[in-house]
Amino acid sequence: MKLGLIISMVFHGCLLAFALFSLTTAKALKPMEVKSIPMEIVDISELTKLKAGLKKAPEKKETKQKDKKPVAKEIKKAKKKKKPAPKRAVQPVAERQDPAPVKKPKHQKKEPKPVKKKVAKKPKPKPKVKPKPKPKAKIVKKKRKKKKFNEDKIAALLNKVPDSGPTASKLPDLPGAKKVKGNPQGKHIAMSISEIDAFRRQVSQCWNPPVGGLGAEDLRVKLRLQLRKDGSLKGQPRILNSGGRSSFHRAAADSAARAVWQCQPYNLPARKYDTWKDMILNFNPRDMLRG
Amino acid sequence: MNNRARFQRIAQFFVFVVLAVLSFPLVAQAQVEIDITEGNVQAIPIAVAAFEGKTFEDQQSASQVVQVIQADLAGSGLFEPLDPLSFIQKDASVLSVPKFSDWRVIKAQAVVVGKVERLPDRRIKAQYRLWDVFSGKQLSGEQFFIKDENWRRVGHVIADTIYKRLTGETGYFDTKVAFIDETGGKKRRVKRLAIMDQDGFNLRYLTQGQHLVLTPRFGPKANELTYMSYESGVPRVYLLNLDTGLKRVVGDFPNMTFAPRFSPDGSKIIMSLQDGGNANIFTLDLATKKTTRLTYGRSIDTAPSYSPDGKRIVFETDREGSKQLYVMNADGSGAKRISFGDGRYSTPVWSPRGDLIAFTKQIPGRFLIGVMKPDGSGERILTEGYHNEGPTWAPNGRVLMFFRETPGARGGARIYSVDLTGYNERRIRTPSWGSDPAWSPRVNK
Repeated sequence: MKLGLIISMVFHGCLLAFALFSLTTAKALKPMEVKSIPMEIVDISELTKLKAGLKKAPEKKETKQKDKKPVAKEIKKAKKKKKPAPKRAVQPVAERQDPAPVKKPKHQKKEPKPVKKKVAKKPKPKPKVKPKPKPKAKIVKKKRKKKKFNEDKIAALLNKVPDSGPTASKLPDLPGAKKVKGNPQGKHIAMSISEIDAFRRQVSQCWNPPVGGLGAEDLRVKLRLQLRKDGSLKGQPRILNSGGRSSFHRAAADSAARAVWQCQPYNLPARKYDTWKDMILNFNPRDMLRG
Repeated sequence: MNNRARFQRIAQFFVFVVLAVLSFPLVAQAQVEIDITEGNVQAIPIAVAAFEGKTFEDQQSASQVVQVIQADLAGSGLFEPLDPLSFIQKDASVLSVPKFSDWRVIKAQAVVVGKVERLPDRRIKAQYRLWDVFSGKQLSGEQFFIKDENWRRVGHVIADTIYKRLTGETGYFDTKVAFIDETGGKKRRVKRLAIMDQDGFNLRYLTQGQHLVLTPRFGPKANELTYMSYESGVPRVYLLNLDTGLKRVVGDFPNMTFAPRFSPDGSKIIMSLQDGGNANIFTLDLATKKTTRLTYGRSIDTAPSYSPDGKRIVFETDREGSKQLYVMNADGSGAKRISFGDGRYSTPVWSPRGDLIAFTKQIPGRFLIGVMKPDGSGERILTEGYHNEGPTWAPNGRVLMFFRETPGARGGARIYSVDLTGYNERRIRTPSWGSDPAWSPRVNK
């Protein structure tokens, strides 16, 4: 009898223990299954702006997930924020569990540093500025390398820096974003695709390129223009490329300059003036050439 | 040695660093860069202001010159000369900067001002300036002297410079057209060789119509013509000097010669020589009189035309049955068929800028004028009709002339021009019927 009872108790105990054990593991697994997808309704312009900054941000997010300090934050928003308000908590619309912790202060502080560095660096050689398209490409590469290096190294330093610097994170040079670059000074916002499209349409309307010539190469015109805040042209646009002084290139360059003159003032977002006050237009009628 | 190489490497590195530092600010100032890949191709609105003239006669000449300029620019299809009545600034002068705001109001993109003066030595002095209305820049400004009976040429030359400055392409207004003038009923047509300005003015007859003449072609200097004539009873190729009026038979061949054309340097004439039911292509060196046979087929090889570099020749042949276009080297080697579309191809002409070959294409019931690349790709039809034939290129390779015949007993041939894009088809003014146009190269100043 007693023996049977003991055996029964041992078995039940084992069963209970097993059940408990298996139950705990199940519990532990549960949160991992649920991967919430943060969703947010943004207007197209915000989305397009974000693209520029996204490249880097998500990577950071994942690497720092081990850090269990749940600071709800939206990287996206921070990117375009201008005023120094680093810790604005945003509630993700569809986010229930797993608040996707990101160690934000670190991340944010990290960005400003290179900015400062750059800003400090820039003024020195400025007087020598001359448009040299070729070297530019090289330097871009160089710069990129440099930046990575800085970031890793400076991460530690940044922790000591009081949280008072500019908060808007800079959009670093991205491999994919050649056309619309984030402002290196981190103060401004890149133009959105819709804004660029509107501007492009405005210029295209007035552009009457001399197609039908032989060399399509000759018809490429790189034009630098400076604009006033009201969208009007400030001074003559400058032709940055020379097509071997061929008459085709000259005519094409004139047609581009004429288009720019004719269609001013431009409807551009005033708050992004710093972004578009000085820009480069690449005129290339490749889509229009026949034959 | 080792040290030197080392030093070089260090120096190179140093240079690189310096360059990198120098251009750094450029990167730091990254600008918004936007691609504009589409435009709005339309005729450029241009205002040709009334040219000044001191005396009444000067003013008359001035307004005539302005009319020539306007007609040329409008005829190209690339410009839209604005109505002089809409002009706000009436006193535009070559000596002062135009009031751009006045011209902007009427939507002119460029404005031409000028002055014409008759000189005592029976010459005309014409000056002009072309201004960009939006940037306020002077785009060009020149003055010309010309014998007063050639006053139309001043207009053409000014139109050419405007055309070139605004489109980048050489103009073609100061050129001539040789063609076959046809008069009389369809059964008894009198065909005369004639020459005129490209706009149809200053017509001159070169033959009197006793003999049939065909296929006139200009030499590279525009002062010589070669053509086929029945003058001696048998069709022969002739050479005519337009300055002296002298003409002579080209070569001494037993049979009929036809479809002549100059080589690009003008030293040779390439043509077909009949041989029984066949025809082959020959060249004749005008200086040495040496003939060279280029094709040997038992077929009709004809309508040869050199590429502008003189290295290749396009011609038509029926060696595979139907008429097709072939390209061969200038020595006759390496002939290769380039036309593969439906129908028969004939009268190929290589564009003066080398990028295209124009041709006549015949499909049942229709004749088309088209262009293709020298390798036969990119065939494009520019115009079609009951009977279109004989394309000839403007010297800038952008416009073609051809003739179009209307059917019926009362029908006849007319000369037309069409843009390379297939747009802007225009009839060229001729006194009566006209066929076989040949566009001259640019006439030297």
